[in-house]
Amino acid sequence: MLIPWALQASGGTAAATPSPASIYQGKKIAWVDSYAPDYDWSQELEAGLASVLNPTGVEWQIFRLDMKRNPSEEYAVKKAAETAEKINAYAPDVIIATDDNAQQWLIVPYFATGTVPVVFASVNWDDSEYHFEPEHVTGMVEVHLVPQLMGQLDVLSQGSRVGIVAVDDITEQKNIEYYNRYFDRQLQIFWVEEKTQAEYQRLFLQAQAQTDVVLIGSNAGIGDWDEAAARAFFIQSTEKPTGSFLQWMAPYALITLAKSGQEEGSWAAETALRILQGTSVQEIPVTRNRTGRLWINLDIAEKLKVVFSPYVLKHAEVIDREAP
Amino acid sequence: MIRRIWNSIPGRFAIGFGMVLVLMMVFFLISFNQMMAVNAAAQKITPLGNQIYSLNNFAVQTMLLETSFDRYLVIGGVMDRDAMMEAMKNLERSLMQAQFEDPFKADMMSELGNLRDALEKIASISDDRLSRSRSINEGAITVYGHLNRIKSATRDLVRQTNENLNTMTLLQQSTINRVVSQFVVLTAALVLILLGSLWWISANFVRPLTLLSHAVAAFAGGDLTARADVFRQDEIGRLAQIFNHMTEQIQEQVTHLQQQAEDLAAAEEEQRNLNLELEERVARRTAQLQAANQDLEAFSYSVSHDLRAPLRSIGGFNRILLEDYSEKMDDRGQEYLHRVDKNVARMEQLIEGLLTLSRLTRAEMEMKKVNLSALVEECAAEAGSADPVRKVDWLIQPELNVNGDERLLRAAVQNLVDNAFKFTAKAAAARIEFGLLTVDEAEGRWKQGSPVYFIRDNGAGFDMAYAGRLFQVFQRMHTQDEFQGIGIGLATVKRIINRHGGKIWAEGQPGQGATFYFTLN
Repeated sequence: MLIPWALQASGGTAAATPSPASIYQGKKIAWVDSYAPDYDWSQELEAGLASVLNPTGVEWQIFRLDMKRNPSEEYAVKKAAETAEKINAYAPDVIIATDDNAQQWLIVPYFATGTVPVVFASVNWDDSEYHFEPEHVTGMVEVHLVPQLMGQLDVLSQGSRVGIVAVDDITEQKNIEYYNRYFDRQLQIFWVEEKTQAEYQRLFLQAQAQTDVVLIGSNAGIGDWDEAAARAFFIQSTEKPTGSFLQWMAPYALITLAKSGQEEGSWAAETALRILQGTSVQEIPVTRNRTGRLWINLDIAEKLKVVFSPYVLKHAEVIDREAP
Repeated sequence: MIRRIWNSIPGRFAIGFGMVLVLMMVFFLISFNQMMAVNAAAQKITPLGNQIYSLNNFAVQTMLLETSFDRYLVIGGVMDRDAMMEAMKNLERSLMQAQFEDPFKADMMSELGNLRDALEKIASISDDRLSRSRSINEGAITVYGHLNRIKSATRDLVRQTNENLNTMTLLQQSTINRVVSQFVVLTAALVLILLGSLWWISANFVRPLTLLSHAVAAFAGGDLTARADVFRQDEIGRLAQIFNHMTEQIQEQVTHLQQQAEDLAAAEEEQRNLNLELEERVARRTAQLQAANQDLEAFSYSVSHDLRAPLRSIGGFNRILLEDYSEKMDDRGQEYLHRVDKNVARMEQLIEGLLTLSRLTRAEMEMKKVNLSALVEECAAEAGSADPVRKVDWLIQPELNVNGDERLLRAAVQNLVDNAFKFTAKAAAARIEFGLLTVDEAEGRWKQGSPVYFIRDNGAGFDMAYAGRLFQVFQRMHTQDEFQGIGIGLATVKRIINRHGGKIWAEGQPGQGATFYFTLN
């Protein structure tokens, strides 16, 4: 049972004003996807881009780096060079680049200081490490919607202590660093060092015993992860409100508020169109994502005897025993 | 025929009015057609507006139900449950009352049925809500799912209806624009026609009438050469022709009159000169005459005055002869002496009369109000006292006052009264009247309007054939034996009346009496 409503966490994106096709006659946009067409995140981004660009009639082309499957530096350098050559041959008026890989391997070395404006999206938390010049590059950094999720969990919790269970890797370290800014460095972290499901579950029970709200962090890198077993464990073991920012961890958390690739894709497309209409890049400040997708887990809710607020029930997607 | 109509002003107006009438009819028909088109567009819009109203009402009821459900979900009281079910009824009622069409109505009926089931299911959970949280969450999700589908379908239909409404509005706007454009074009055409008509009226009527009025005004102002330069076949043209013809005739007549006036002025000037000359001659003759009269009067006075002394001497010596020497004469001689004495006495009377006449003529006049009736009465009394034996019937109209010299008028009245008294001496019943003629009586006798006085008697009268001699000196109608007199009295009267600016005349018949009429200026 899915309710296809996106949660408007706060604010919203400005709707692109449909423009006559003649405005974009002869204009071209290149989208550099860090991943591949079969990757869910890339599909969400593409859907967002297409929903804005296709009605305008502007010409746009996709350039995939496919770096999920090819994470090596050697591949990245070679693929970036090839893609840069193809993009130059295409001669776009605006380049859209999504996710950090595209920025690191392609935009920074080939286009960051060029004459073609660049719009980035899905760059995690901060773009300062790329030293983009505001005259040429703008974009949307991707953040986890911590206040919005905590607003829902606080209603259900019995205390103010918050803990997080996460695999100890660079990504999660970066994420937790930014989470802690919200919790004023009071977030209790339970690092999964051994990267096993058992350790993850043990630390979860520990976190649950020591805190009032538990955040379900990434399980990336845990090789023995059994989804069914994990789902059963969390349904049976959860005693306190739990939440997650990761869509793939939604089956194990009471409430999940994940980023929306469609939001970021549509924003990047609208920004590219504004630039084509004559707005200078410098006039468009770097922004961050503001909407997300909300999941609720009815099995865990039944375990916790939680009746969700009408707001959540109206806008959430549901995960229960029948869900895949 | 058409040319004849066109050449008359009523004909032109009839043709112009007919054309305007036809244009107005065309304008009306087109406007009516346009109004029908706008009305038809409005007829299509109205149901869409009604549908949007119903959809809005349906959406509001949906929102109220959702709000009631939210409240019930959070609080869960009986009142909230009843309010929620009442909101459900209202939503169902709003759907039934609206004029929605399928498939929307059928879909909504189905959705509302399922929604009611879901609501009733949740409403039935009255105890231990937390232990049945899954049922409540699932039920709420179901309810919100139905509500979302209802809202979504309603939004879709509103959007579609709005699109249809926009399409119809654009169509109507297009129709209105077309109507406005046609109206503007028609109005512009009418304005042009109106301007053309005004120009036509101005060129065909106003301008020629203006020319004609200017010509009339100029002519009335004295410019006899003014003509209306209007050359048309209609009434105005004919009027202009008549005017021009009339002015030509008037100009000719005025020229002729001016010539006559000049001739008359010349004649008057000549007449005036002649009159002046005549007046000079008259004055000269009058002066000569006055001088002659004065000489004559002086001569007459002198003769009369100078004759009196030798005549008295003759009379005195004759009386001495009669008294002292009659015994020395025979009867014949004595008779001759008596005759001399008698003629001397008569001659003295004549001289006295002439002197009197002369004095009256020369005396200075003193004008004042004079009671003429009183003068007549006094003179009648004097005459009666001189011969008391006679009986005379005096009829004197009282209080006839005039302006004149009393002494002269008394002399005139005295002569007239004595004359009447004398010539009625033989009348059996003498009657003497004095009075003023009435206007009717005066009519035909005197034309100047002055009062006419008269003294009438029934005495001896006179023959009108000799009326012209009555007022001449020494002229008598009767012998001395019949009536005594010297023939100077009436001449004296005439002289006095004339000095008063009046006139005297007489009417009479022998044996029938006489009437003397006179006027005084």
